[in-house]
Amino acid sequence: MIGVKTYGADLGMHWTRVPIDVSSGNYTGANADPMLKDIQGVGVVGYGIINPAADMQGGSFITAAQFAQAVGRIVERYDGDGTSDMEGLVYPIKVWELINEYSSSGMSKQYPSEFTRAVYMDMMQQGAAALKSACPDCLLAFDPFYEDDVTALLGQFSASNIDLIAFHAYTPLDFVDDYASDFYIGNIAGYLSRLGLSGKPVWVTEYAFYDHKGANRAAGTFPGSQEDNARWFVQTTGWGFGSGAFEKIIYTESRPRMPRQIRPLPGCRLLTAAAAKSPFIMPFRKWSP
Amino acid sequence: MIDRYESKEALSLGTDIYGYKFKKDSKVVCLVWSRENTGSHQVTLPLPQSSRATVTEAVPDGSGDFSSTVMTFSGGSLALTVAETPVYVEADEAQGGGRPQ
Repeated sequence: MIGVKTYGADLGMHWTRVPIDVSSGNYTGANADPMLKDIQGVGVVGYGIINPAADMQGGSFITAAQFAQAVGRIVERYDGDGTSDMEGLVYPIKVWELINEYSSSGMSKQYPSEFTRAVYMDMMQQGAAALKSACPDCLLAFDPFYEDDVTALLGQFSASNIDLIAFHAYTPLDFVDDYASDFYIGNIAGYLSRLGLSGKPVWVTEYAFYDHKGANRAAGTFPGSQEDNARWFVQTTGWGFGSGAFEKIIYTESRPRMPRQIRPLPGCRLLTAAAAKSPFIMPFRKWSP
Repeated sequence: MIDRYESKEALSLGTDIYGYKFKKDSKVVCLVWSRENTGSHQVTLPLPQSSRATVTEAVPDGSGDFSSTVMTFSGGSLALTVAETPVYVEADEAQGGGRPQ
């Protein structure tokens, strides 16, 4: 993630996301080496995310078998067990999310049309098996993004395979457009209960406040300043940790906003365009997430 | 401040008030605030039998400094006015409580 290498230690970060895309033309597993070296150099531990991606060479979409093979290779490389590990690995990746924000409805990520629900379910099952085969003590983090797909998956894939929940929160606790949304952080427990996933640790693996109801506000209508975000951050994080709603957070909007870029919105970012610190930094550091 | 806390507890402080007590390294740290746009509220915060607590605003001023005040109290509770900006209230868990017998 941009900014972590340079500012991770100063920001007091402990964890960051390590997203790894694999395609039918590239699933050898060493793609994340540069990022791992960068983040471990500043004492930050990786949270691995493996996603199937369209082949840049125009080939076919990756198959479930190829995806599982990629998962096995990648996990083996970064699990720190001494077998086929990345040279110089200091902080192994022990928590892995397979397939971020999948939705057969087309919501969120722009996955290719070949990535049907059936393919998703196959990839999850084969990928999870490959993960545990390569690293029995690694944890499978599951992103329950779209209820219909999750319900279908859990019909074939036991919830016992899931070690923790990866939840994405873009809505502050107490400044909300739609309190009924499943994406509202106050509804985590109810949503997971409905899915049969209660009782599992919840990690907020995408965390920032720029949409307030699970659907993006129109550009320019975001109401919060950096001071507002600092306050909302402390409120929401304090509530989450204090109530037990979640156990860990990975704040995602550390980087400065680039020209013509919509995200991160000004109020959310930890670093400004000049890479200076925002007023949000100090409350963030007090929590040392 | 609160990361790697050893225990946590939700506090019942009244309508529109959020309060959580964290314990870490023989310190008690409470985080207290009120729901957005509900104004300020008087609360009574249960604390260990110490006599002093440090109350610190959770959001810094424009200079990056956190406003902090040392407050004295007795009887195991601290009267406090809270608003939507959370405050940390720190007290030593081991202090006070009478002379050892």
